Amino acid sequence: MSSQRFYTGDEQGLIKVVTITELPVVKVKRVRRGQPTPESPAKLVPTVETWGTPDRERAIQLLCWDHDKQHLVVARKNGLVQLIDPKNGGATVTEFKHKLGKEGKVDTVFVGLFANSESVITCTNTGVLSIQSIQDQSQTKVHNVGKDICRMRVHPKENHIVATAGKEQEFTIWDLNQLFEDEKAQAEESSMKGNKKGNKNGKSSSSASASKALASASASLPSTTKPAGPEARYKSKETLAKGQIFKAKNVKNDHLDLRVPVWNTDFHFLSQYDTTRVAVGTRNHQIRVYDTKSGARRPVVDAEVGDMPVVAMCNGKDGSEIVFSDTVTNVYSVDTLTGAIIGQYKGFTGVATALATFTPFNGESDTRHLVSVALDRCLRVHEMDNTRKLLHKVYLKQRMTAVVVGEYTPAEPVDDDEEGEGLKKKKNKAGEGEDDEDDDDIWESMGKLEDKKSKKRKTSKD
Amino acid sequence: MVEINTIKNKLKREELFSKQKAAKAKQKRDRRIAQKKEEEANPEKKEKRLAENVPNTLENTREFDETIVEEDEEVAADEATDEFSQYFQNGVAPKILITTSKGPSASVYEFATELIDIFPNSHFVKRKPQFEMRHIVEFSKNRDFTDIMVINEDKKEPNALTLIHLPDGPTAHFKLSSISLSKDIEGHGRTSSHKPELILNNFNTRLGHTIGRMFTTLFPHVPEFQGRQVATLHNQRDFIFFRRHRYVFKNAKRVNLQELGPRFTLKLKWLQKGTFDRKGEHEWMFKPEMETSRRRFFL
Repeated sequence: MSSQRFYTGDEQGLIKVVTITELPVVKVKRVRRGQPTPESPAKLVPTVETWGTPDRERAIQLLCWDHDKQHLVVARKNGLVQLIDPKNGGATVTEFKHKLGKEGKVDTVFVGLFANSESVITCTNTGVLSIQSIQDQSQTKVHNVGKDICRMRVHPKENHIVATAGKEQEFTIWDLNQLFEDEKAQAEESSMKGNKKGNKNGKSSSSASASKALASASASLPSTTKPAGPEARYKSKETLAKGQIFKAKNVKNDHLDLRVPVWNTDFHFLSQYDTTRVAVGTRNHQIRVYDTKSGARRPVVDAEVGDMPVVAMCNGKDGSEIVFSDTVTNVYSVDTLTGAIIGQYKGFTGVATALATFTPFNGESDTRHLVSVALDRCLRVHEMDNTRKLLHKVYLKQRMTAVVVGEYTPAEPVDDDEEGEGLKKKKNKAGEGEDDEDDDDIWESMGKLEDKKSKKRKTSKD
Repeated sequence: MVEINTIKNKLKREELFSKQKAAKAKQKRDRRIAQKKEEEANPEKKEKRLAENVPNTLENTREFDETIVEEDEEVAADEATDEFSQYFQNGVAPKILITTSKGPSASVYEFATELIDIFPNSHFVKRKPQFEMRHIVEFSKNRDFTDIMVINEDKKEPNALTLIHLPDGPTAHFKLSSISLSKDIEGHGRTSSHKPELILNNFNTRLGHTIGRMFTTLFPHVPEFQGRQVATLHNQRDFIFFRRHRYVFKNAKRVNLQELGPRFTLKLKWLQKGTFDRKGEHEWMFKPEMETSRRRFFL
């Protein structure tokens, strides 16, 4: 019996680990005449494990994995960014505090979160893009990317490519290497020195390099006016700021020759491998596809979909499809080549606040699944084929805000001989010895299946 | 035994059929008389029969709903800190603004008058066309209102009610139907200005809890019992029935109810997070596709 895990975050600051156990594929054996057909096993109840205590001030705003899915990164309402070890029952490994104040009447919230093995990249709606080193708490790089940012995403493979978009903020792609070029050069120098020192004595060197890096960062801040890079391609006089490698241009005026307002709510890189194609969703219910390779700053596809603002987006089966949710609880899948709605995912009663796709059975299946959490306090898993069937629905008691796909546990290989069964029984006993509840559940359900099998075997011997 | 419907002769067939029918009726009558006699001699049997004979209704054969709230620490913790905690934890007294859609007709004013009568500390404000809902929400926040109630109309009849809880929402939108004003109710009593008691029935699911709590926040914490007025919000099959009564003590044993009116029925259409915003995020929204079964209820 294989199981798939999901980690969800909610308004009460709880992380819930939802384990959905898939039923084993029952091989249809030849049924002898007069024998009853074997009953299909009862549907398994997903197990939910909760980490943390309810506290609205620690509401989870974003969740993501770090490099290699070692740690879960959590961005909370009170400005805390935590690295959590999922194998160790949600124990906090490291945490960073960001200062999130109130600007006017609007709360400052995290709009983007990303982590790799070296650093955590966060962005707030006030436009503070910060790159925080995991190893070294004091080493932070901060850049202001403009106010009213609605979403920041980092390209999953090219981690130095960062994109932002927001209210009256055109979709922009930044190159972190360029952005922090001078600093980096100096930091590298210092780190080289640091490493040399580090061979002799461990801890003091790292702190020294950090202080140098900080100093260099502060030194290089005034020099941001320096022109950089590939802006020559653009015909317009508006040049790209330092670190920007693409900045979209607003669409043409409408039929009354009025400016079209810009309010990008979410976007997604269409491909894991290249950074050129991006789909953007807007508050004015448009889906736009930008292709940076084409040389056009305006979208190559601009389609009006539905009539309510886009809330969340995620990739579809491949680059040609994108899934988005709107504020009136619809979830549509859209063709990124034509902008037409391909289909709708049904069963939502609240707004889907976060979407994610994954390939079930650890990539062995050729279909993809869509997992979503919604304000109606449910996690849902849909199949991403033409049926768009609702596979699982789990009630999680809280208004959910974030979801990430966790690890997949493959099924135990089924042995038909007696030895295998003996082993399993031993394992079963060992499982009972442990206090872990959800493990117990899994083992218990396995026990039931064995009973059935043994019965069948007896009858066949008879 | 001859199959009656195989008989070719119509007269014969009719005769036999009426005989058969009479025989069946007699059998039933005899059985009932016997049962009655038996139960008169032994009243326990009647009690037992009545207790066992529960007819199936849509409510008691309702589809399983996992969100029905029983004693649950997590839900309790959620509710302790939700948007209504100002009322429940800090004891902020309700102050309600009642207004209408733009350009209201006479029937809406009549209904608004009834609403003002129901809710203590409620204020009617005439809707001016130059103010949008988001402005009204801001004005009311500045004036320490805790709730806004907007009556909407269609074809000169009230057809919807929007409740906005201030300052942080949520917003609930109800379809409004079956309105009978107090004056149309025969034998209705005259209302007094006492704070009423509140009865909430059958708000069982997580969504129902939220709606129930929202209604609770419209009434003062401590009722004035000497007024003997009761406002009831009874949820049955997702329809919320509003009734208002006064209880009248006849003697030491008997209590009578006198209806005060008005009567109206609400049905939840959507619940929105935050105060009213046309583009806001909906926590729950009714869609026709959700009506998969007559035994599926959401409140």
